[in-house]
Amino acid sequence: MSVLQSPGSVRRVLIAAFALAFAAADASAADVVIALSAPTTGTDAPLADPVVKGYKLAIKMANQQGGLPGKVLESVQDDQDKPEVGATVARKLCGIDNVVGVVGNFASSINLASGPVYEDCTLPRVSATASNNTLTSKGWKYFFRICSKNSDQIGQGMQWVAANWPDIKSVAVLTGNDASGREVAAQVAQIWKDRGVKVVSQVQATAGTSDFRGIITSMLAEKPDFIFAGMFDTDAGLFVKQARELGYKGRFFGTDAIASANFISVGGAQGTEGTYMTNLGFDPTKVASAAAFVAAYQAEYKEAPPSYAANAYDATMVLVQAWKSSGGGTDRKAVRDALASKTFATLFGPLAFNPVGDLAAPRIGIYTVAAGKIEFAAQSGSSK
Amino acid sequence: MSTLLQQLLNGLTLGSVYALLALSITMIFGVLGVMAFAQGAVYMLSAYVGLYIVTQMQGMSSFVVLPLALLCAAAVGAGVNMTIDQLTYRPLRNAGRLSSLISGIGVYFFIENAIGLLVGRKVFAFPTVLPTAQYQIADIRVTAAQLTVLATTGAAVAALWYLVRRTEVGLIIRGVSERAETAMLMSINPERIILLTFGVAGALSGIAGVLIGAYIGVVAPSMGFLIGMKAFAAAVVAGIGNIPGALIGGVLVGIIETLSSGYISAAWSDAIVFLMLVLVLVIRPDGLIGARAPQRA
Repeated sequence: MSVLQSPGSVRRVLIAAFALAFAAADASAADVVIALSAPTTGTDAPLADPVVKGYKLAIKMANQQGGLPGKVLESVQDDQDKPEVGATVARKLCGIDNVVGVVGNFASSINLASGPVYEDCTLPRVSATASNNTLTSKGWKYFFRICSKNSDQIGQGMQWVAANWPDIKSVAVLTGNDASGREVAAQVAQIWKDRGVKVVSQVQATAGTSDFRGIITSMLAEKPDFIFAGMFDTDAGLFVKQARELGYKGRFFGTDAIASANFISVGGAQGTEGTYMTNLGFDPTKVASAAAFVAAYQAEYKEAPPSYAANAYDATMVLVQAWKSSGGGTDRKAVRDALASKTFATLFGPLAFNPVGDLAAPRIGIYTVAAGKIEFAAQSGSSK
Repeated sequence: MSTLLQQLLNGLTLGSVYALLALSITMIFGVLGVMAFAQGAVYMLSAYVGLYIVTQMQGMSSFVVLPLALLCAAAVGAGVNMTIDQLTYRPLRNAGRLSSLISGIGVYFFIENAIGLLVGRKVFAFPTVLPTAQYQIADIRVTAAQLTVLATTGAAVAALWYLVRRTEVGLIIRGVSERAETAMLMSINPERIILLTFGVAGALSGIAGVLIGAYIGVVAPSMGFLIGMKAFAAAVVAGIGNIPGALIGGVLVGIIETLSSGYISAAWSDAIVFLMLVLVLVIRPDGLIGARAPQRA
């Protein structure tokens, strides 16, 4: 005997249907996902680890602080720092309806591969760390970044070097053999040529190289007194250590890619001592407005947060704020519009994006390795 | 000129470690006719063993720590390799070489992933255990670390040579390599010789793992893959199955890689090494010196 044939059943069915409709409406209005795309495996995983931690803490705190139209769910997607995996992750996230934003990708090359996919499905991204210049000149409407781009980082970094080390006469440049690396190498070389300093060696090495001695020996034969070591921390650490072993006595300068404990651990406290670098962002432990974040991070992970973690935290919070001010829901375009138009509260003060998705005001810090630790040395002003 | 000599020294040091791995691969091929793909994993595993020993014994003199680490790594390498033989190669003795090759590949990835899951996929820094002195001889910088690596590989190769050329066991190994059936007629059990060969090969891989870990300064679960490939290239280029050939091949690969990265292009140095492998095989399929494949019916 079917349900509809029993007495009073029609009314019961209708009530049940209404209840179900309300329940369904309740569930769909609530939870959204702000995903993270970064390498959690592979040689770049250690560098990206603070990004994962900062992101997770942000999701947790955002939900804790409340006042949101619903719950924000986390989803850590491993893109292995490989372009094809990044694109696969992008397709996957695009297809999940309640993903309203992505913190990512970690590395610039991956963004180049995943970008078109995200743009196609109008999913907004805020990257905490991708600094390749071209990312904001592709006409992408759904890409924003919390970090400054390479040309700002390199420009201000080299400006600082020229001002503080005027005795430099010959420069060697080492970068990785990828999108960011090639761009950075060209920019560094041009800056020094414009200043009339000789660039005696320009090398692009494969990430994951373990024995740099061949490269170093050829480089040192040209007698540089300043080497720009623009690779990721493990590679740069080995390079710096081996270069010192082979007798290099000059200066090293790197980028945000070496601002990590891993660089010092791999390169050795002695080998890395006195290496300077720029960093995309400020040291949260030195800025008063980030104190609450530092305390929370310390309590959660039992270690102090590096600037990458603060960037990731900010990127996530900015997405959360944008989603909230767009009224909640799963309208990706509304989230994007909010990102483009609003000013957000971040750990380092108010932040807004310029029309192409870059920071309206760049944030670059100069750091150095002193006594086995990365220390904040100077703060750069706005870019020239 | 001095740059060239320096580069040669760099390449020789790197190549000597490649040679150890190439030797282990070539020895297994000699007695079994199988490309032991799993050697890269044994090498990586032993590097971790060495790392563990060195970390536990931090603070003690390098003269004690380094030999101990090498010994333990060799022992573990030998044990693991023999286990790999018994579990994954032995059941496939009569199944053809392709099955054994695939089995070896599977074992490699299993071990790499298992270690990755157990200790994490990140890079571990190897504590300083090689001597840090540096010497300036004319325009060349020679580090005590390089000398130590060369001395250790030299000692390992000398020990191997002695084993193979001057002992009865070595004679039996060579016999089994050339004619397994005839050796059986002489009441020699090839199985035990194969096991012993795997053991020796594992010990060599183990020593190589610790040396590279200490010389370069990092270990990671993925470290065995590319170097395993280069060791293959080294073993094949000179002539697979040929022991002196593996030594020469290993050093050659190290030198070519280093010279390429210094003089041609750092990004292309690996590609050039493998291109060389392809060219040599196309021109001389038996390798530069001549392969010695086991004669099997």
